[in-house]
Amino acid sequence: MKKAAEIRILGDSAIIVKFAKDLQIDANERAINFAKFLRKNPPANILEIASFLVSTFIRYDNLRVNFASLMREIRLALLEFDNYQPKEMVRQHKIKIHFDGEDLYSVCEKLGLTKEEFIKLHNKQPLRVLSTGFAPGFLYCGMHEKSLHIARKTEIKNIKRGAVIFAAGQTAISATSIPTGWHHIGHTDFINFDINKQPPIFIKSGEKIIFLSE
Amino acid sequence: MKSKIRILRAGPQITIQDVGRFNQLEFGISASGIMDRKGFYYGVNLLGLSENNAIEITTSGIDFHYEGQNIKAAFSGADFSLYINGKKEKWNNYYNIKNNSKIEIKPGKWGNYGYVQFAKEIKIRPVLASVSTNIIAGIGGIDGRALRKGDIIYLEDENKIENKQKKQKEKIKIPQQRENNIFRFIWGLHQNIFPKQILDNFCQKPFLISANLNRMGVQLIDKEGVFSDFTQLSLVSEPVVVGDIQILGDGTPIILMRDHQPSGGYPRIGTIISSDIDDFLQMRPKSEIYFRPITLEYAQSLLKEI
Repeated sequence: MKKAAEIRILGDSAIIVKFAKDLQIDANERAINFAKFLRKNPPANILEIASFLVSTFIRYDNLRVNFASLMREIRLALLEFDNYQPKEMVRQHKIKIHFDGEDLYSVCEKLGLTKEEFIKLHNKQPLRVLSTGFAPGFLYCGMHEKSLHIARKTEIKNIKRGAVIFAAGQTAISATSIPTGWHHIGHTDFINFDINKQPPIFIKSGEKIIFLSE
Repeated sequence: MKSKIRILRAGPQITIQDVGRFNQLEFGISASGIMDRKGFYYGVNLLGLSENNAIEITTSGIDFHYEGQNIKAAFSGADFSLYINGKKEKWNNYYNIKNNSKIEIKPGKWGNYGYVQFAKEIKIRPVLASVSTNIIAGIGGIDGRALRKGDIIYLEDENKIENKQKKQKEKIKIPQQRENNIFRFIWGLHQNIFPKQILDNFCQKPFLISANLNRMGVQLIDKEGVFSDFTQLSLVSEPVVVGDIQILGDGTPIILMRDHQPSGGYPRIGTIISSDIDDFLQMRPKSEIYFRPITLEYAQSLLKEI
């Protein structure tokens, strides 16, 4: 039995369908697949559908929508979605990482691993892209096994485009310069963002990434 | 002759905007777009158009030189002092601008954002179907940045007014400073994590607009300490919408604006309603404001097509 999804109001023009209170892999999968499901058969007056870590975002035309009937349609869609299995194959991508970040040694030290051991464990299994909605082209990937989980840093630092960062059981790749409290473990030449393409990203939520050491 | 303007002086954060770059939130890009839609559409209507793009100016204003065929230009939004070739003119109006004109726009009495638009659109390459500048993402406008002295902006060759059947000008109220300082909101995603005392105080105590405001967000000064004892939990990141009232780790409330982060993990107590957001973002620093909760049904009944 799947846990019931919660519909939450987000201002007067959007709602989110929330599949868990905190980051859980099954909720993440449902959030991504519900967005796909809704796009195939969208309710009337929907302007935007997007998936995030554990929720599906739905923006509607607040001048035209009948909110009560939108809610009925979303609830009905959630019932149908319980039996939905996406047919498409999950795409897998290989990304080369240079493990040369300024926090690499402190991360290894915290985990009690040598650099080589850390890299081996980090790249051991493919990770799932959990969300791309944090910054342009940003890739949140998870989850590493429990033994690799470490907390964020307390200080916030700016990282460069292409930086590979690590915290809370996840690895993320940034396509832009952003401030972060995650540990900077390396960089990649791969940039998941091209403003001349629609959509502007190449790797999407729900797809898998195999990390390789450069 | 190509119609163009050359920037002689530009205040900070002056950008090229249109209605926005929608449907990119999943890819980490907020919609951006015109801050004060009411103020912008007043100008669109003055030109007899239905849509347009514009230069969005901030309080310190802009000076520019116009070169090209005679053109209609509209100046609208918050108050500014307008001089065309040295002659003081009324703001929130439209004028025929002649070749080799100098336009000076100086600070006015109220508000933060104003709009300069022409009967011909600004000619600039759209990014993801919009010319809106998003400075944080570094996209749109001129190289994803604010305008500066020396920039040259070309206008389209085609005059929309001549091509389209002239649209009947609607009666839109002239932009004015908001008289009441109560902003209505809908309770937010994380209402239930705030203690009742904080929820009550939030609806009763005054807040001040801080000097820290821009297209990303407006920080408030919580002078009554409504959130001073609030200890926040770590929350999973959720999508953000314009008007979200987010409480930072140190208890500072910040209202997210059109260049907001696409998603965030700070607690959100509520969202200012669409009908009040244009007036809210025109409030200057030190203004005192209050928040009042309303239902979604009521908020939606207040909406009307701009």
